[in-house]
Amino acid sequence: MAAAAAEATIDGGGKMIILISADGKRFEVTEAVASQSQLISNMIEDDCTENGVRLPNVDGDILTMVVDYCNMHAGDAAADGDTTKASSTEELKKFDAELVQALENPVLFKLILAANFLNIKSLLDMTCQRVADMMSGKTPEQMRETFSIENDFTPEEEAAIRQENAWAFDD
Amino acid sequence: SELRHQESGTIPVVIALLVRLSKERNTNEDRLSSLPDEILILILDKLDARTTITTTILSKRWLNLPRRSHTCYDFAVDDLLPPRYHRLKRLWMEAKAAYEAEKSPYVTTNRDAVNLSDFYAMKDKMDQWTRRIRPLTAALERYERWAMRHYVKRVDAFLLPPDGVHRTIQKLRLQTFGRKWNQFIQRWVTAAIARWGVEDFELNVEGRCIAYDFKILDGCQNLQLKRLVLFNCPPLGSFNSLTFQRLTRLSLCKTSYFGLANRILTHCVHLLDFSIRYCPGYWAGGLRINVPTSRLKNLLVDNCKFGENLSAFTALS
Repeated sequence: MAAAAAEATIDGGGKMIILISADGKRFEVTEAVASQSQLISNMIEDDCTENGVRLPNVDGDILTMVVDYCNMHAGDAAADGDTTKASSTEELKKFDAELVQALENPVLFKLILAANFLNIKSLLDMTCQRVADMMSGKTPEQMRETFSIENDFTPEEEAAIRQENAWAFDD
Repeated sequence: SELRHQESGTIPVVIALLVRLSKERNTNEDRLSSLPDEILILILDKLDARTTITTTILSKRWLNLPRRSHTCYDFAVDDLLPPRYHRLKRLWMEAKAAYEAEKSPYVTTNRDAVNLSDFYAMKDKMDQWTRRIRPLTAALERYERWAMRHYVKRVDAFLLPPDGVHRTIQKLRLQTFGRKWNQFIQRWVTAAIARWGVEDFELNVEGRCIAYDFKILDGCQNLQLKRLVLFNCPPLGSFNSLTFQRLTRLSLCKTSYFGLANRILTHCVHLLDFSIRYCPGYWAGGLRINVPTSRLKNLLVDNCKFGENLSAFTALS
């Protein structure tokens, strides 16, 4: 473990932090990578990352994705970081596109919650955009089906809302 | 040890994980609606105005979400046309261009010395082209009629709702076909500018041009229009209307511009930006502007026939 940490310190060029998921999985990342999360960045500033950062709301599987995302994007946050870690823009785009395309119910929503909790703006933005893309072009009925939303309006209530904004409901 | 040191570039690993996780999904749970308000609002903000409105009807959870009040609306007839229409349109344009290319030498050179056999050869070729283009045109027009029927219903419901409905429309773009839909377009323009007090208005008419007389708005109280973009809609005789006098930005595209730059600049006393784009007309003198009273700051001439040998600018004080 010490060897791994030492090696990582050399190629990452910074202090290492250990993130611990809800199910006890441990991830070792550089400060530069971890501080893309505003939450962890604040914790680093307050010097309370010594014994690892416990993330009780984030599963190991989801955290794997988040850490991967942060590793890929470490380059854009710290422009002065070393070049081996910083991925090329093209690679990044490909990574983001593949990640977002593969996202589905319910992983997508777990990732949104994780991005929100860890406060990683770019990841939150990307995942919310994915949901928006899944909604646009769909009728309300199709949206309900896609996301298993239960319609709790009475037919009269629904008709009244439709009437008010008839221009949007013409299909 | 459970410690995992993540390397970058582990796309296959992530994808495999995602596939595995997706298989475990519980499809009957509404995870979207259980997201906190602030995240749902973030998602709604990424949708266009129309889709955002339709989400009010999903469930009570969605009806009560505070949403950004939309003030910009874009009604594009393109959104109603299927991809097949655009493929046909491309074919049609290619055929039309080939036809024009083949026709032009006959039209320009052989006009005086017409040899009868040449003439019949040409006529034969042209007939072949016509036979190819006509069915395409008919198919395109069917799609256009179908789309426009839906478009008219939607825009009518938006711009001409019963009295008492409140909307804030600051910016509006209409993209529509012309021809026999002109009567609808006329009343939309009037409603947009006079009833709703739109500040930014773009009217993009495809195909045959229509004219709108902005003078009929002169008696209206609620005029807010500052920026106007017109495609294929010549504002005939309107430059001295109150609407035009208030404009700060004017863009006349395609057949909307028919010369008279000096007249436009003389009447539009508040105009700062003026652009002329894709204008097919040609004037021998190019563009000569001499309006000492104009406050114009920017003039743009883009993709215009008469702009190819743009000669003189004077007195842009």
